Amino acid sequence: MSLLTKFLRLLRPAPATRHWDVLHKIPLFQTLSRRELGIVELILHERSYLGDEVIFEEGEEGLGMYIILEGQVRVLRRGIIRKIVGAEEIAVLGPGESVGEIALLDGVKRSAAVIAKGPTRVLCLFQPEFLQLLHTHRLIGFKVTYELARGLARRFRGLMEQDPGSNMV
Amino acid sequence: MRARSYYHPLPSEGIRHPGVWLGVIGVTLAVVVLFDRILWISVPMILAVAIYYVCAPGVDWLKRLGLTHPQAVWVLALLVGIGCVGLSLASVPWLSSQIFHLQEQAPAYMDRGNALVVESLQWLETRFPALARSHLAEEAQTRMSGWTDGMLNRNVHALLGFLGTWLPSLLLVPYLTFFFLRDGANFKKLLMRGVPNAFFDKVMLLFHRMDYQIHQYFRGMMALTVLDTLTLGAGLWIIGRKFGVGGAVFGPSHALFLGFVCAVLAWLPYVGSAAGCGLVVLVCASEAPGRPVLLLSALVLFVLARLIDDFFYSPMTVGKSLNIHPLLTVVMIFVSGSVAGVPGLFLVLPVLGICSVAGEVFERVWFDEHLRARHAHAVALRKRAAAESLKM
Repeated sequence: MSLLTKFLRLLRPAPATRHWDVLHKIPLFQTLSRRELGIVELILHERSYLGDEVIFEEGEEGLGMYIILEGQVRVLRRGIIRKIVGAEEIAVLGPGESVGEIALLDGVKRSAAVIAKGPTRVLCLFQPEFLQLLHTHRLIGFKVTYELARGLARRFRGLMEQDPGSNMV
Repeated sequence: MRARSYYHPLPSEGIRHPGVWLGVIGVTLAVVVLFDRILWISVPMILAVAIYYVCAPGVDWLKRLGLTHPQAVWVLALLVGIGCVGLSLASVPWLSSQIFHLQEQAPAYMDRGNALVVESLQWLETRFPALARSHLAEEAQTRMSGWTDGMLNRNVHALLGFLGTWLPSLLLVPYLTFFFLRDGANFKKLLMRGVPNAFFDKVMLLFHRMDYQIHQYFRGMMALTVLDTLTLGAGLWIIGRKFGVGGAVFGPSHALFLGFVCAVLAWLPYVGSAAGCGLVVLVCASEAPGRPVLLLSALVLFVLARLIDDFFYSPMTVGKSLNIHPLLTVVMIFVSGSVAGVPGLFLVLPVLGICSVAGEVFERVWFDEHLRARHAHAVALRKRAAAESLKM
């Protein structure tokens, strides 16, 4: 194969993502094309956890988001009555769902702990790599941040509905 | 400055544990000594890393135009290759004339330099009779004339030997740079697979900070070299015009070349600046003998350039990328110079910078009981799972 053929082959679109089935269902990435998702996947790190293994803890510094590929995770929060009943399970998430999106925007402390319910495989998107991706691929950046903003707006609306007396606008 | 936005704002508290500091110093010296022992590969590696960090923004720019990562790397490699060939062809006549001029003038420079030292010592002996009794000027004259005899021939042989040894090694630089650019991210992913889950976040952060630190250092050094070259070149040209000794050495191209040599010498911390100053003084003494005002102007120019460098250029370029105490920096420069010679002087600051970041993150991970407990819990879970699978 000549060097020119090799070079022209390189100019073809990037290979499709390995985890297309899971990734394209994630709200954050649902508007990305297969090629764009392939670019995002280059910065995802795959990790495996056993049941009861801690993925991240409440109160620790958030450095990225996790996308569940296989298995389930429990989201736990220590409420006001934690001394009596311990941590409260607020959700169980499965394949195609994600946790820790807020950490992509700001490295704030985690508001809940996430623990693997059984053997679990996740993809981790690390915040600095995500910011670099937004910088180098602006269209991907626009699509992802728009979806991130929509997700936050939905959560905000949910909070408003739970607490109608709130003066948040 | 753009890279700063990718840098996670983890508050840097520095290393607090004395044991970790000792470890950082020990590892830095070990790395410097190791690099000195395998210089034939460490030099192209370091050059490739430096070029990688200079080229990385170009790859990012091409990616912003819509190319994928491999496409961007190939296009950049082609552009840089064409640019290098073109530049080499264009600069060969100029470069050869510079080298020819240097070769022609070298004996005169050496003689004039010797004379300058001897004259200065004689002047000191006339002023201070105590020095006259030691016959320092006479001794210096005897020693230096013996040293400079046939020095040029020796150096030409040494230069040819040097090129023969280093050329194959230096040819690795573009090859290594290309693969660093193309596969750097994959290599990082591969390394991260070996990190336990409990430490994953923090180690990712370590990688990111080290990447940022090296990026800042090499890009800063490149920018500093360009600024130093322009400042010294312009200063020498102005001095040449003012004292009417332009032409041969203080013409624009020669002054720029001399400025570039001094800027490259300044890569050697402290010692390099003194060597650059010595070179400029030597050239002035040779080009315009018996004109102390010119010599003084060159010295003033050099001091001014150093001040501008220290107070304006360095903070703007290399800046605080190596957030290390100045005392430790100086001590490490001298120690690594004595254990690894000139390569040690070149290498010690970036290696110390990287090791200090690694040490700080190590301290934050290792002395965090919480993370260690999490890791121990994960290990226990894996052991239990393995034991249960064996029972079945």
